[in-house]
Amino acid sequence: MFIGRLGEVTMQPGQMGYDRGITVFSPDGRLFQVEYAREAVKRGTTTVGIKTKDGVALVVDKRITSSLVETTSIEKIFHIDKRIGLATSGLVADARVLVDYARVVAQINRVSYNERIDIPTLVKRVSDFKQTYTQYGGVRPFGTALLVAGMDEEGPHLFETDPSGAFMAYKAVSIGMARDEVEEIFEEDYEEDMSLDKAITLALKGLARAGETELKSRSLDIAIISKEEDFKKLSKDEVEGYLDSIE
Amino acid sequence: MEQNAKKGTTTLGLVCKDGIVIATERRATMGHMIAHKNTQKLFPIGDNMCLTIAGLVADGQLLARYLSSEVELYQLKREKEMTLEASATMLSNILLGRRWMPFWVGLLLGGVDSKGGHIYSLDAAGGSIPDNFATTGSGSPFVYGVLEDHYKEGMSISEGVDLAVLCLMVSSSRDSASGDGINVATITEKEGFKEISEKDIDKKMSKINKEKGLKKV
Repeated sequence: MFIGRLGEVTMQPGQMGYDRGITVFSPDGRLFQVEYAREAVKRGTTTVGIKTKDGVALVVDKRITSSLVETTSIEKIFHIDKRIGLATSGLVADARVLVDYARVVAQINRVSYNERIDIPTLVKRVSDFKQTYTQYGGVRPFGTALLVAGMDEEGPHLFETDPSGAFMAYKAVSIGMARDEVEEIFEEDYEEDMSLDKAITLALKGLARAGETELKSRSLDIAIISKEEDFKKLSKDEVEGYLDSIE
Repeated sequence: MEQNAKKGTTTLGLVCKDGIVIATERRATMGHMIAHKNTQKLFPIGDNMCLTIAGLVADGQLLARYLSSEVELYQLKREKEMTLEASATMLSNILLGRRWMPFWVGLLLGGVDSKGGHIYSLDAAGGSIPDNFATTGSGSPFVYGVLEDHYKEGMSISEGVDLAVLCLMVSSSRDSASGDGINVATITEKEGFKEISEKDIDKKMSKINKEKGLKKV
């Protein structure tokens, strides 16, 4: 049996049966349902997050195939708290449950402490919630990875959470189908002291080079949280502006 | 219940230039009887805060334990110090949760966080009000008189300690439910929580006694 970075699994006949219940370990200590959930993420739209000292940006190519779709109805970036946003890849329906949860956690923090929640705490809470869906019977894991981005008292943050409930902080990260290709470009061109504008351009460059189809403003979603501004989704014109800059 | 309740107290808190001063006297009463003469009414919470209790001793002690463990859990989980605003809000929520069977207390929460020194006054209904100075308990009317006259914004910690001692000497001489010695503590960014020693308090009392003729307590 072989396992790739995101849990690429090739099943051999002897392993059959260990993927029936999520609470059952395989003899070599793996939880197949969790790994399958990661597969769902691998098939998802490519979603990127990029962090600079001035702020964070989330960029998603919504991969809209039909011209008849009302593009605004497809949501992959969500507003969680004043200065926190979240982007998803994988099963969007699963992600929406987590989005609801994260929003409530953020509000409970305000009621309890009269303070905005800090991003590491929010990420831990959402990850703990995901983890419970890998240990109890009768459920399945969330088939979605999240990029949580925001600003708090400590500055900008960017986290990735995966279906197992593991999470990691990144300077620049991608999830979904073309993750590896995008990260290759990030590893080459990312600079810690780049401007947020430049970072967004780099994110788009990554998406453009990794994707099979041309990027179009109608299917692109960009959200930023910066020192100056709270969570904001860019307008179609603004997205257009960034698209022009990469050509 | 009310007959047997140990209550009647003076506590006070002052925001000073580099931190806060917080103080209580030590008497616990049951009706007209002095039930205890060495009552701890001042509880350090975490590294940067302190709670004083007035009212029912049992309720106050319970809340001090609640708050102390909530603050430690918060700090372990988030790897950062809890702000005064956060713990005052949490405490206010706990108090309001008992709307119909209240904790019979008047609390002061004082401390220092990244935004400076703060004193919060909390009542049994859950009201939570930050102020430059506050006092609770049966001796508070006397103390407010002194503080309104003597408190100055931006006063130093040592001036604050002197003022706190004076206030408690005043309340101990005019409120029958206050007396039997005092506890004074300071919280500063540099040194954190620090209690003033018996010896130093005695010195300060002697000085005030000489100047104003107030009895030492």
